[in-house]
Amino acid sequence: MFVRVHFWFPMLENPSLDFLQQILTDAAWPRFVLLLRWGFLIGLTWLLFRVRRESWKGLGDKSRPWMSRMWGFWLLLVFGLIGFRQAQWQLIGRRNEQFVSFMQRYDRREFNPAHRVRAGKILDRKGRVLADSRVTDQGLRRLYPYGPIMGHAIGYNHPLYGLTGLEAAARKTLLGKELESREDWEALGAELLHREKYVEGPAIRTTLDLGMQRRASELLGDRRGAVVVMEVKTGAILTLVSHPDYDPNRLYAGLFSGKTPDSPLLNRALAGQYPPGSVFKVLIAAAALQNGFTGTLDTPPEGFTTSVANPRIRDHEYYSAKEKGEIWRGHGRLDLGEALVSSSNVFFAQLGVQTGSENLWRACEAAGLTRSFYLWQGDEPTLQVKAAKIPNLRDSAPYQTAQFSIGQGELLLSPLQVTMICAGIANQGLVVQPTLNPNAMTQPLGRLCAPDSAEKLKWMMYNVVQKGTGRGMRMKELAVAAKTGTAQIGGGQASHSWFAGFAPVSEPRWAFCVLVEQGGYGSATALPIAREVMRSGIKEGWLKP
Amino acid sequence: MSAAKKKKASTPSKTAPRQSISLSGSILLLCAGMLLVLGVRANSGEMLRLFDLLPYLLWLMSAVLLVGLFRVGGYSGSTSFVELILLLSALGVLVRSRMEGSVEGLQGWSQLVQPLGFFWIGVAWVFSRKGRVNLLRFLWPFSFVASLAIVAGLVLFGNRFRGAFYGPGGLTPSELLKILVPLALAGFFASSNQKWEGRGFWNPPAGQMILLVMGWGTLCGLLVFQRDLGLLVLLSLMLVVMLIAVSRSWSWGVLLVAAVAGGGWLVMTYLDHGARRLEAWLNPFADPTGSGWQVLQGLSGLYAGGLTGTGLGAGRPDRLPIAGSDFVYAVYGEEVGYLGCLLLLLLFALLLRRCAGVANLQKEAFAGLFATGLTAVVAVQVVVNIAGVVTLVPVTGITLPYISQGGSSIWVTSIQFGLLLGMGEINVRKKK
Repeated sequence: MFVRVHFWFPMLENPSLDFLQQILTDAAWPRFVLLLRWGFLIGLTWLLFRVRRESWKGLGDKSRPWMSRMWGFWLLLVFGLIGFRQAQWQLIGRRNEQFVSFMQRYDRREFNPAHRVRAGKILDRKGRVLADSRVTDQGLRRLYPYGPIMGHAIGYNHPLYGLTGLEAAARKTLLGKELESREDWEALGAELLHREKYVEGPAIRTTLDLGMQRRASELLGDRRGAVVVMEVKTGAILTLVSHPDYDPNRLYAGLFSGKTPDSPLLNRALAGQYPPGSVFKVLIAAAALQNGFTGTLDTPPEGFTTSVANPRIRDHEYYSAKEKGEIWRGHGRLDLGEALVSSSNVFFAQLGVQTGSENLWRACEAAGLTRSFYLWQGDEPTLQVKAAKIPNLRDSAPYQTAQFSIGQGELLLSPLQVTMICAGIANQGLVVQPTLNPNAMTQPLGRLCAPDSAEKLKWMMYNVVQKGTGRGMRMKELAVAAKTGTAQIGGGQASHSWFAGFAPVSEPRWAFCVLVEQGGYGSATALPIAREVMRSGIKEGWLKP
Repeated sequence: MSAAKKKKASTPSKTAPRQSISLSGSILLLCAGMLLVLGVRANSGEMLRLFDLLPYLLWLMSAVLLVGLFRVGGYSGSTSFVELILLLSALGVLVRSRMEGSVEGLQGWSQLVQPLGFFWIGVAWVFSRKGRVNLLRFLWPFSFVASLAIVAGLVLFGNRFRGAFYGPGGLTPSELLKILVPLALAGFFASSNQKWEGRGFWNPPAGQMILLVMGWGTLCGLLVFQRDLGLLVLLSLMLVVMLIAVSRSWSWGVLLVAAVAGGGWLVMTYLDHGARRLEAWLNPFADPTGSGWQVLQGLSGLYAGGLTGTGLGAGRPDRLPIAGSDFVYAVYGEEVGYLGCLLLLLLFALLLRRCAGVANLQKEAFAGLFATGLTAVVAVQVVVNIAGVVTLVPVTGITLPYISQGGSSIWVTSIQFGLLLGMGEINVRKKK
């Protein structure tokens, strides 16, 4: 100011105002500021109410009032609208969660109360805190006490990198947006009057279990893969682990550049797309049972094909025998249960072709594989499970159907979808929508098969653990029914290792699925992880042996 | 002349007793605001100097001079009208002096804007009182041609004009349209107001309507060329108000709806700039760091202010782009809070009600319509600016009269107030 004014009036003196300076910087001044602020508002009010009401009655030419009466009404209306709209931002702006997150991210006014609006805690099913808000030197920060263990399941909320996962989907609830009860309104009033206080939104509980999640994460280690455990009746997800993971407390730009080969931000449990291999035979079996399949099929040692042009589909014993220089004599005639135990490709390729592409497609639909849904019905479309990649099956192209029936070819599923198939069989054929929200209504996705077919299939899968490829899963404390899978991915790479099933057999409560990318045999790699996760579930007290 | 004086002297103002204009309220308010603003500066370590008081002292001196002029000249109109104008100008001085140094575009000389504004009030008042405003009636065709010439000049020599006049101290020439166009329309309607009377939107007087559409089309076309959407909206809304006034038929409001729909469509399809503003209005969160940035920063400021504000001087207008002109209401709202904003709205409502009342006092059709037009221009500016800040309507780039920075805007508003003050004197009415 000094310099500028002197530019215009260089001849003038500009003495300092020591007296005023002293008053204004006095220790008592802040108290006067409050007085002055209120004095300003009250004085302005007083001045406006003091404005004399001049009466212009009888002055105007009544025949020509130039519609000047209209002004009062319209001004009142328009200014009323303005005041109303302004209040929506200025007074109850905190209810607009987009607005609050904009201010938290981009508003640099340190006194803005939005910087002190804290999102509520996220809890696991036992009430352990998975995400919390703290005030740090850099302002408000979201803290994740368990770091990478929960990264994929609940996502992150970062001032720079934004929101994702449950943090995004439950944003409004976490900020306490709803104004439903009288208490909510009272809280809003208190907020407006005491603006320096920190406000925290309500906590939300999830269906996740920290103990199982941690164990699954440990067991996967630095292998790429996913572990899912879910309740068969409600769809509540207890474990949702995807590796490689990331630490939501320590995000860095490189994560988002898309150059990391392992793509740690990809939630493989939901969004990964893998050939399911033999675990898919469970669905084929359900479809066949549903369509009245009984009896046996022959499994010749030379395998099965639909035309000479196509390579033959053989059992894996054929290859292992060939390696040893022996000759594979085939399984002979098998019924469905035996075929499941020996995981015979030849049997299921035939069974699928016999069942027909139409019925197979219907089974996929009934298992909810064609549906897209969200694990948390919320404000933002995150935690989405997309429809599986299912090839367009036709009766005129039976070889494709045959490949499809052994879980190979163009078929791609996510680990969660494999879990849903198992959950359907465990839940008397009914598939329910998986969810992370314990308060969500149970949503049926479809009926995979009739209850009696499901009952039969259940014991067949139990036999897989008792006699077949899943023998490693035999445990004293828990009777498990399951199916292994070893999905070839071609290119000379190791196969994906699958293990999926449910427990306990007599009254199933949980379905689970473990996938290890390029982990080799399902029984060797995925199975031990599943076993230990089940054990940790018993230890956490969720499953009585 | 002497007859008029006699009339005035003999007029017993029973209906509106003459009272002296009181400045004390505005002065007290200004002092409170000044102490708050300077307090923040002093506490941030700045050394206060005499010239920091300059804006307030200049306001005080010029306001005293203006009130003195009214007293010497025998102002016989509404005293509260003058008081409201003074109060508003005091608030404007506070907000602008508060932004000085922290907001780009405000410089030392800008303290002279408001005092000069008072000068223009005086000039316009002296000119327009005692019925002299009716002399302007026959200038209406020239006024229209001048409007066209100004816009055409801006279109042709835009850069040169901007270079020469956008700088500090100059007049943005198109601001003059806020006086010239109401004048032209008032003269046009006054010359044929019998034909318009009682004619609705559905049966307008054909010849007059054709003239109006042609004239208005030319002006609007030029304004679109010049990309001055704000002025276009402002003048069109004023036209609707004047049509309603001259015809006394609300059916002309239909034009408003049609203009909103048609204008919105035109903007969306043809003007990039306008389309972005519309999108920013419909969903500012779609592009929060781009088109929505300015509006959202303004709203953040309002939210930060809350119910009672941070106190004058304690906000952060430097966080807000174009804080000085388009978004000055957000700065004010941040510092005096929602309550202060309601009071400002009340102040504007009272002031505009008085402006509108002036039309009621006029005997001549021209003066009545001119007063209506001037009132409409001020009212539309207030409403469109504030409604834009609170996202009730898209942001149009119209300033807030008397609060926003910018010499030309304040001076033109001063002339409008001066004209209305002169027209609103009661003794003019009593002249038979």
